[in-house]
Amino acid sequence: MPKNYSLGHLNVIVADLPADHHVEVLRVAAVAAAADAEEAAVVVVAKPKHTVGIGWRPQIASFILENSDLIHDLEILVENFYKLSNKDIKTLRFLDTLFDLHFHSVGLGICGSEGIPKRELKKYKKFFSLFSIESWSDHFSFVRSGGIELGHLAAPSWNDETINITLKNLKHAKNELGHIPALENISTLLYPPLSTYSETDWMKSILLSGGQSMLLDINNIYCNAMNFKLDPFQELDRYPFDHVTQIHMSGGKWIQFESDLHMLDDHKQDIPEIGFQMLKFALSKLTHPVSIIIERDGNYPASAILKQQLIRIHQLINEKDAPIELFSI
Amino acid sequence: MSYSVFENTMAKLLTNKRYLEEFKKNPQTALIALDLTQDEKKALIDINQDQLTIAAISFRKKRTQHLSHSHGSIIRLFFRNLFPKK
Repeated sequence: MPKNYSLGHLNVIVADLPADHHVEVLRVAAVAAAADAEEAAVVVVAKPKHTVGIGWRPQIASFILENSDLIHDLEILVENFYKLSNKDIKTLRFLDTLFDLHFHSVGLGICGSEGIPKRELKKYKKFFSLFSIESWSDHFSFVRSGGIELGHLAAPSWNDETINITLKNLKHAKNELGHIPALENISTLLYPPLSTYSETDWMKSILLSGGQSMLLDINNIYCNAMNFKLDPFQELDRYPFDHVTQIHMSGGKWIQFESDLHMLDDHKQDIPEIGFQMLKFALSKLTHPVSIIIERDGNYPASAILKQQLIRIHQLINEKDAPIELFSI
Repeated sequence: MSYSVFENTMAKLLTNKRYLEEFKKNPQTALIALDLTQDEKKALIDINQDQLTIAAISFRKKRTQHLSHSHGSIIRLFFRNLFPKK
């Protein structure tokens, strides 16, 4: 319901806005009144909302295309398209017409002491020359060392030495590729030896010095919290939300070894309820829009279940009023 | 230099079952010839062996799946590690 306010000689009409935004509109009008302006206009622009997406996997291609009304962003695993055959390029160009593409990679090894090999940079360079890279992410991990290709993401020690290594590698990537990736927190079953920082303090040091953005993986936080007997919400609360531009949602499973249970992030399970609760908590901390992406790497559920997970994320986003930004002219 | 040796030792523990078993039997002996600081040696000796074992099992499994998927056959993976590109 529009409301009238008198401010000096100005009659201010505030359109149908939530009450807590009236104060901001009046602040702008007060500046105009003090400047003796005859009239003031305030343009209210709704900020873009958080967006929802999913990782592109051929096994769920038809689900993705059938549910494009629920999917804004599509995450592309760079390594799955390295060969860049004509078919690959055609596929990506087609998907680019339907979705916002987010490129995600696992092979950079940004925290590795031997740096990023030339052959890897060459692959990324070729890929990035063909597509506009508005969003690219990799991980806080090392993936090779002393000639061993680990083939998976390993957690580095959280200490000063690896902070310096990571920053050096980021600088090198920026020089060679013209881009730096948003970095994602990883899950680990082994608490990294030789660590002198907590995981979050270590990541914060890199993000603050490097200035890049972060991909927040909710399930990785949950897995690490379970495996190292920490409170997942307290851990989540320690993350630098100002740097977060993307969020990953997935599910893992408990595995038993000797008498202990460990939480494995296998991306093959449905998102657990606690994952949605942690997302809700994260959304309450964010003051800018982010992209929220479901990762599913196998054991694909029925379409209805996957669709319900997308809907649940949309519902969590909509529970909060869309943030509104005010500009005065 | 020594951190890269430390990192490489971690990589071997996570991917090489035989090396892991030798290390678990006698960590001091497994590390004796390596150019590591006392702190790095201590960190490896004090490692939580249950966590290391389960991480290595998971790692070897995922590694085989991932590399066979993304880099070609297991045979190619074998030769890739035998003759790493520099």
